[in-house]
Amino acid sequence: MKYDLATLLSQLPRGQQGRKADFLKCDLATLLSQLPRGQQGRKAVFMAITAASTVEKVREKFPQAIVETVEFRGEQTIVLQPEHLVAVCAHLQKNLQYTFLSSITAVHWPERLPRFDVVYHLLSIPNRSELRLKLRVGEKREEHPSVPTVVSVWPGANWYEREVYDLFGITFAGHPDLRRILMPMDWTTHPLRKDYPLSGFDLPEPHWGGQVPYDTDPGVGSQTLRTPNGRELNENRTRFTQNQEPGTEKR
Amino acid sequence: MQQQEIENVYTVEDSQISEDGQRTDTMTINMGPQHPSTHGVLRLILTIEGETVIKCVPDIGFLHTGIEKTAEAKTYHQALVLTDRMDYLAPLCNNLGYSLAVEKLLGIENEISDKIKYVRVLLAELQRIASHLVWLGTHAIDLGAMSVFLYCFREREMILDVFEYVSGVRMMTSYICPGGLQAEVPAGFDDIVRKFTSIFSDRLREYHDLLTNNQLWLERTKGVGHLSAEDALAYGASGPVLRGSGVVWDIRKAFPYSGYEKFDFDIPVGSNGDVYDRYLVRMLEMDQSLKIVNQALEGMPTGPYRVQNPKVAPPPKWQITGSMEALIHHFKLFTEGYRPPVGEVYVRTESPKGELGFYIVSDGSAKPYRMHVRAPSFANLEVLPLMIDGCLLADVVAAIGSIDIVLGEVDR
Amino acid sequence: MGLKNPWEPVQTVSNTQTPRLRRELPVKSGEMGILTTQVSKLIGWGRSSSLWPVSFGLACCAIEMMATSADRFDIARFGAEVFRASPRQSDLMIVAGRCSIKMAPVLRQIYDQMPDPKWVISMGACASCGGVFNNYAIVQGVDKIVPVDVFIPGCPPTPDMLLFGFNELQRKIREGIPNPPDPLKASGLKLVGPIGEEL
Repeated sequence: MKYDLATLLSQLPRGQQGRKADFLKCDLATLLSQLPRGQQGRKAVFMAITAASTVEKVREKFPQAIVETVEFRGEQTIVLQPEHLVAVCAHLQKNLQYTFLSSITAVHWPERLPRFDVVYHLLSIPNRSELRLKLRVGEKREEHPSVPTVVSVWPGANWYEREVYDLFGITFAGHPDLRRILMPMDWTTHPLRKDYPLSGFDLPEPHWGGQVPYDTDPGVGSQTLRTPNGRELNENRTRFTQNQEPGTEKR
Repeated sequence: MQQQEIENVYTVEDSQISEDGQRTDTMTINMGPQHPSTHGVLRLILTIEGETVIKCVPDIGFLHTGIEKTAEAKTYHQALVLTDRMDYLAPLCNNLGYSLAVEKLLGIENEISDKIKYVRVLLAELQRIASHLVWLGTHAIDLGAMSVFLYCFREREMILDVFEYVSGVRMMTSYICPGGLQAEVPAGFDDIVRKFTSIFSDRLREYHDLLTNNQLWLERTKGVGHLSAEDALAYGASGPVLRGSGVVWDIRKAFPYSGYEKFDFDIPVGSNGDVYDRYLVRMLEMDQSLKIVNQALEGMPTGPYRVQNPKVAPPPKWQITGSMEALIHHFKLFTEGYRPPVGEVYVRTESPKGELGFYIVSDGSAKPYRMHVRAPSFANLEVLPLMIDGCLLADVVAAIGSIDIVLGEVDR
Repeated sequence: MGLKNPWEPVQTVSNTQTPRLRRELPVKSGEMGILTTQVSKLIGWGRSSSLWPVSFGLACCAIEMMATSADRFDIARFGAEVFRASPRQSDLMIVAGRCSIKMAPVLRQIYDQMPDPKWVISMGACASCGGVFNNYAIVQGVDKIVPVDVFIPGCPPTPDMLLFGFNELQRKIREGIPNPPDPLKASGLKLVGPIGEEL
């Protein structure tokens, strides 16, 4: 028996065979044919949604929400105000078909105010366009900046926001289940911040029962490599450990 | 500690007697991090009633390696080595994604020659076949078909021979680097790839003969682990999970990278979103990958294996003795590394598991300021509770196998 | 923490290399000479020829471990016929892959659940010493948690390297070389993990 596409397709039950075309082509016609019946009349309009036109549409509809827009290497980024995030995301998801949330992540800028960037990568499958949204949070130097959650718009944001909370400490207001996902459950600090040393702290993390059963690497040498601006290039543990992690009480 | 262990393993809650005298309890059990069928260190906390799963809470993080943080302390070329170890079934695909992202950041995308693109596509597709073979072997052995495991690994050894021929390493090759390839493709490469491609379509037929129309296989996989297209899109599932649910989306066709637009291949898409459809999608994908490998082998152009830009790729080693500029470039590249302009990029590629994205933020220094990896298995694992809602306990194993997760990617 | 010099590993002398032969070990009192020697040789041969590993594949090394049990590099011909899922039915733990701090209590629990006599092979650079990852999340060598008999370097070690390490362990068992001291007993610490939490 031949096992190729044609044979396997012919084995599909009668009703499914109308979707034969799906197996073979991933081109604009097929993608457009996946739109629900009522929308197909708007084919010409959908063809025009690109990343650049999306930026324009968002600027028209939410002029007060946009802080700035950036274009670098062909990618469009919209920097938003945190208060308007959910409204803009709902508009993008419902009206502009950005139904696919690729990823939510964050970047820590310790020498800049606001401290954190929360970055959302969106993808529109029918229009084949991608977009990046950014929020700048942490102006008041708070320990755990707060951002509204987009779980109501894309349910897949659940785990991404938990990961950002776990590794950066940014809380998401309205998240159904905000707890740690990658680090142990009773970990107290947020490892991917720039002031957390790469090799970790010397002593007490509660899940070791108060001590670690091994000694961690004290680091090599005392020379520090710096950027021209004075930022250290390597994590230097001796700067941070007084055998105590900052913010915890002495055990 | 022994007693405490046993207590914590399961608790019997909510013991009730229903109207017809049946006792209805739910039991919370732990499908622990050490388990033969969880494909890695995944912990599932299942609430079951009898054999039916009511609730499933995945607990991940048992392989969290801090790769993203470690990459901030390494130069761009050194961080390449870390990317191998995330999706450890398809390291060359990770390398390809990372290299494309760094090349986009540097702005040298147009300098990549056709030869580099063809070799990259060839190796990435071979890697896709290897990854799907491991998936098939482990999925089949979880569901009881032990001989398929041995056959798949037999074929995979031939692919690893190709990688060893080209780079010296079986897995974790780091062969695809920003700027091209690490070393010239050696002579005899054609023969060793042909040794594989000449026998593989027969072997694929063998796998189909064993499983595709097998009544036992159909009973275990048809109708199990259903995932609708709307759910898949809403949760960000990608790759064969998304295509098995009926959504036509493949990044190699939608945003072609590294010369994929020149190759002629089809994309299999399923119709119901069950385990059997995802199985068929991956089997047909292996066939299509073989087609691409053959096309790449036929049409392989000649050319340099590395970008000719000395600011990014070190000049050939023999020039050091003769040319001062080559020496200086070598020195600068290996002590400091190249410094991309300030900015950020996000590049998505189609790895065997789904959409693998690399988000790299550069602050102008020689080390990435932030490297975030959008792991396909992370989002694919999020849909697991939806898939096994109401399924039997044995179907959980089938569903986990069909998503094809790699915990190294999920936890990074 | 019980360690004077932080650069010194917990296990200072490798005891696969020294002693090489059983006669270099101090003779315990009560041994009856040639009869016990033959019996212990038989026991050593029996134990080494049927080591059943518990499947403890963590990361990339697990794939090479699976390749070792596949048909090209068959580990079953050396006696490791089945990889038992349950630690209670196995006598060898091959720690294949990087052990993160969340996984460390689980590792120790599985090791504790194995019945005596038991041996541990630490496969790969990450399990032996932290490997490529010298950071907050990875235990820098599982010999800080379980006593390791054989270390196998490599990232990942090829299947023939794993088979060589396996053969070294078999030689070690046949010679009667004892297990190294337990690192947690020496420092008196307990690994407490959130593994028992309900959600």
